[in-house]
Amino acid sequence: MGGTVTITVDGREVEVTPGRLLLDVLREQGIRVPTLCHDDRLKPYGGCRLCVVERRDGRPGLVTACSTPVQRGMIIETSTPAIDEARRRQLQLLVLDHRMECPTCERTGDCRFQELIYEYGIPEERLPFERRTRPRDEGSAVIIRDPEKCILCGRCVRLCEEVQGVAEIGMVGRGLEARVATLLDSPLDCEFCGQCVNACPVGALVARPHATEVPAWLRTRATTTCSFCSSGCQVEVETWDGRLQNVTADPAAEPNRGKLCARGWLGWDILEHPERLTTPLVRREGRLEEATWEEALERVAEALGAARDGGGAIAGVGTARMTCEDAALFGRLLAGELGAATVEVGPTGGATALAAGMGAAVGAAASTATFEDLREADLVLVLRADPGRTHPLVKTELVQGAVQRGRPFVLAHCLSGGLERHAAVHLCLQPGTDHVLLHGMARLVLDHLDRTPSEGTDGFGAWSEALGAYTPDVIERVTGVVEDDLRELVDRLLGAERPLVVVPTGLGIPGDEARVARAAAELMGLLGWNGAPGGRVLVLGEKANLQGVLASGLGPSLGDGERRHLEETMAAAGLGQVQVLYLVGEDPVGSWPRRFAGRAAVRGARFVVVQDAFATATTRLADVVLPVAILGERRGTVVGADGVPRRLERVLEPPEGLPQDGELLAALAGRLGVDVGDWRTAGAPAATGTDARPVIRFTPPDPPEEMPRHSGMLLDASPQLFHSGLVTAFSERLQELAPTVAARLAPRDGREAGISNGEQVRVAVDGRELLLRARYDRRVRPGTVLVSWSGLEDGAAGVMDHDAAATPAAIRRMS
Amino acid sequence: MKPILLRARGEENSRSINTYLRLGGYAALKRALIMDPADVREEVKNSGLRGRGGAGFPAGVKWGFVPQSTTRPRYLICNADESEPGTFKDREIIHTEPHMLLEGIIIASYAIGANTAYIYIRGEFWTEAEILERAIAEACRKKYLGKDILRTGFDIDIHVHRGAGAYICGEETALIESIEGKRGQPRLKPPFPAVVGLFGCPTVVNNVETLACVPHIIEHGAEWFAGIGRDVRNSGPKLYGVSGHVEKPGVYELPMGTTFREIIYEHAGGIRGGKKLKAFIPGGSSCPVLPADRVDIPADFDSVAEAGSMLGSGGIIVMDETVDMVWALENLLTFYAHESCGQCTPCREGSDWALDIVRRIRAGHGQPRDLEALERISRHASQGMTICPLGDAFCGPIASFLKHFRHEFEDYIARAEPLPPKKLPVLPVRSDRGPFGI
Repeated sequence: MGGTVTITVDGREVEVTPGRLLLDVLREQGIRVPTLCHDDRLKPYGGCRLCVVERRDGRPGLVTACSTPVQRGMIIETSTPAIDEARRRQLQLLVLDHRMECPTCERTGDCRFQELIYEYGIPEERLPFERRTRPRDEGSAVIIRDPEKCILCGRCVRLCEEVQGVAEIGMVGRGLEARVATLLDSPLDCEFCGQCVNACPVGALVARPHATEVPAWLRTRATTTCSFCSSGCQVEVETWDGRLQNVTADPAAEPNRGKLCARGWLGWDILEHPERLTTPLVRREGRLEEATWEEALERVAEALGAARDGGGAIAGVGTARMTCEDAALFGRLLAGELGAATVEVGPTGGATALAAGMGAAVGAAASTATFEDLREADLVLVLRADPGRTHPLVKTELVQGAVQRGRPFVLAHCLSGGLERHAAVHLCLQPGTDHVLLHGMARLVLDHLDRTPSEGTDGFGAWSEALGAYTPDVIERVTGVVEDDLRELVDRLLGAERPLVVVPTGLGIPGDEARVARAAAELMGLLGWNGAPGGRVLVLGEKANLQGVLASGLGPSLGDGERRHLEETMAAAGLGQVQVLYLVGEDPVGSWPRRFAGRAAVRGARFVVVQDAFATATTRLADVVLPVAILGERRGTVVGADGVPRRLERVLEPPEGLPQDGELLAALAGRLGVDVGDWRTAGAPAATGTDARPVIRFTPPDPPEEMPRHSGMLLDASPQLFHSGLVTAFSERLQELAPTVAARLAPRDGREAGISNGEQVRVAVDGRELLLRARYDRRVRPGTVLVSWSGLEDGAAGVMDHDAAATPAAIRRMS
Repeated sequence: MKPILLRARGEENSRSINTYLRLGGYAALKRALIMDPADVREEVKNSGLRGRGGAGFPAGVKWGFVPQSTTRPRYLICNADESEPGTFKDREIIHTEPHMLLEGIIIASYAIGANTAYIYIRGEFWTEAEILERAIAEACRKKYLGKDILRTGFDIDIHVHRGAGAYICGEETALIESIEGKRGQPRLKPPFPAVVGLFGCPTVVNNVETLACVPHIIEHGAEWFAGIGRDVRNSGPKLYGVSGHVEKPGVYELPMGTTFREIIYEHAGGIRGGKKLKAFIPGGSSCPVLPADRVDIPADFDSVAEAGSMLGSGGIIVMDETVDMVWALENLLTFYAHESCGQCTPCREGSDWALDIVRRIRAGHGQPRDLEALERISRHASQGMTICPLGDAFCGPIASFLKHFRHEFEDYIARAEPLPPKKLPVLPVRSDRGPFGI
């Protein structure tokens, strides 16, 4: 095609690319075209017929703008009596079957159908018949469905299939009998992403947790960045009288384009959790008691003042949920002004993948891809886990690519949350061997290279030599991927113009993330030497602002002089060598991978300050606990996994006017007589930049290691969608949705061990045990027992060995 | 005219491949396979063969839309969904000589470069599906189907796919969706199936009767075929299915363009019981009705179109003077309201609303403005206002019944009584079966 053609719109000539949809062109021209069934994120449907415009050339008549491609010489009128009449009649037809109870409808004032009826008016023509009656379904804890209001636009159904990839709901029945239903009307058992509710143009689907009697025009609407994961989704938070009323997303806003997930949609009840801290706590004579802000801050200032410049007497550990400004202030106050030994981000998914993995290969602690790159990639390789569980936005991009555009992706993870249905290639990889697969692929890619990395690229010789050991049969033995599959994968990779590797992190995903990220970056970089642009790597950090916190100087120590590594610091604290341990949003005792070391450090440090929103295992041992604002109660900047900085806006007032992290730090600075400037503007965050950087250093891998031979099974953890155990543990709604933790195993393994499906079993790891119900699951790799990661003791987190790629485990019957 | 498509009707073992071979079957296939596919397409184009499924689109032209340079698989689909009320001709072909259809499918597949063909047959045609399965097995054994047929290097497989009882699946794109295992709903066009069809590949969908004509065209030549019938735009033999108030309902094979009078009075034995003809639907229930005074027009595509209706599938529904036209329209609308797929508003809501109104008129509660409402519905649900022609299919009858028999509706309304004060639930009250909840 190429070039443009001229069409005439309302008498004006317009240059357009042929084949584009007329609706898009008209809207670009600023012409309002009403639609109900159309959604930019979906394939055209043509159901509601409201977008009709008049065509004057060719075969004249009314055409639907949403489904008509532009052709040379088209003559279009967008406002004629015939169009108005047609739209009015279509609306009238829809009204016939829509229960009009606008005054009491949740959507009144925020209903596209209502708006259009007001705009076009409905001919007064009432039917002397009663229409169909269908009861409102209030059975679900999450979604209220009112079939009498449904106008059958099909957006919910299509979003569920084309974007979410779940197809939990579908259209059932014909004609007037058509309705939106689940398979065999079984209870809704889906990801509860809220996409359907958010897309409903009427009040047929309503979020129960957000059902409100406050009409739309009284609610205040503000945009903020969702901070449950690092996708950086923009959400619209509606409040009234300071209370949350609804959470939606704007289909026009990047990066999520109106998409939501269960956490970002429903998880907001954590703000009102009973264990939310609202008053400072101070330890008096061994007991933690409520105190005034004055007393609490004075105690902290005293302790910090005493330890000031004490040569490593202060250690600070912050969360990757802090805003960039808060993180910068934390570093400036503790390290810069008070001489702390360590001010670091706590152990969190992605920190070492970025700092050590990407840092080693491309020289910057950042991904080399944005979400836009993910959209445009022509082959995506997904490692380690189902991003649908860790980063739902990324999963929707994969689904949309596959379902709407036929873009393939390779999923190298055994049991995923349904994403395997859409994968072009699904490899059941031995957990924790992703880097081995990558090295094996790199070894084969080397054979196809016309040019090899130039001199000046560190370590290439040693690296390519070390790869010699990663032969296809070794790959098969270690990862379980057979040679044919491996070669097919490499062929696909070599044939792709814009390949991309996704590396999800966090939530109990096994394996050394730094090693995986590095191997991915090396492989993608290698492709660039073949004359192609090379591939990109998207590392998905676990927490919202990992990229920003790293950029603000809180990255894990990689040997820059004075600072000691976090582990060493914690070990020192355990030996009583740290005077003040300052924790911001971190819970070493309850949620760190090495809980015993965490507990020892917190017990051993002479003075422990914790800034957190909730009572945790660590706050119970602290000397001073300072409650803070979280999520949308804060303002500042967060940088998503794609390296793009986004605004966090204070859309809700925190309870009791709680300060946010930076505010507290600034107050302390004031007490200590230190000038750190305005906390709101400390450390202006820059985009961390996600350019396609070339590989500058190849790190020769260790020889491939086969899994240690042992008689039992390997424990694998699967991330959960609804609940990762840290912040989400405080959301009662999400807890309600989360399935009970079970030990899943291949039926064959179960039968061999004499364990029947549903039986209570012990999963033993190195002396520790979990009591779980066994579940047969054909998708589980034989030899593996899969336990959900909930971050809490009852899940895999309770027993897993966090350093090993895989944890040997034994599974036994109860008796 | 000697029967062509139904030449073996009444013969013993007419369905067997041996009978078919004895009658000269598969000779056309042999001839076609040594021709260039483009020449096969040209021959069919020159014959003037127009689609017998209802739209009357020239078959050779349709085949020509399939991109020839594509590396993707191409598919041929034989539409044997035959679910239009009043239409029962395709069944007759399958019953009589299934191999004629298979031969047509193989030649058509060769012409468009397809190696896989589907016969989409309506679920109720159980016997017919079995007949086809048996015929396919026979043809496979004789190497007319399968790999390298007749040692020409051409591979062709035919699959019988049974529908599940939806009228909409006779519409070609809904049919494709159905074969793909999806809900039967029409697709937006463009792209047309010839470019993006089954499994996203170029696909041609042809009616049974259309494909059954193909072997004869190849065997006897385009000129021979074009010579049958009124002219080259309305050529070939045509199966007319006559139902309703005639003495001898049935399928009659006659040259295209035979007049309705000849079909009804000579072949079908005239109106039952010597009654007078009141009206007839010329080509299946979705075609506008014609009053008795149009009975002298030729039954071909262009003549019927000129008279304001369509030849459609050639299923002629004959109504005598006793027929209550309001009842007849209600009958038709009941079908269409039930079969509307529900995707687009005008058809889903309009067909049901129109049915409600006609039912109310028949129940003796019509109102003067009802006829305007009916006309308005038919205007806003037809002529491109819906995705597929189902909108036109129920609007054509409404408009034509009101045009030709308005007085009958007006009579009902003149005798109407006011509605009783209690609202009448016309549709049964329904409720969802199960909870949606978690």
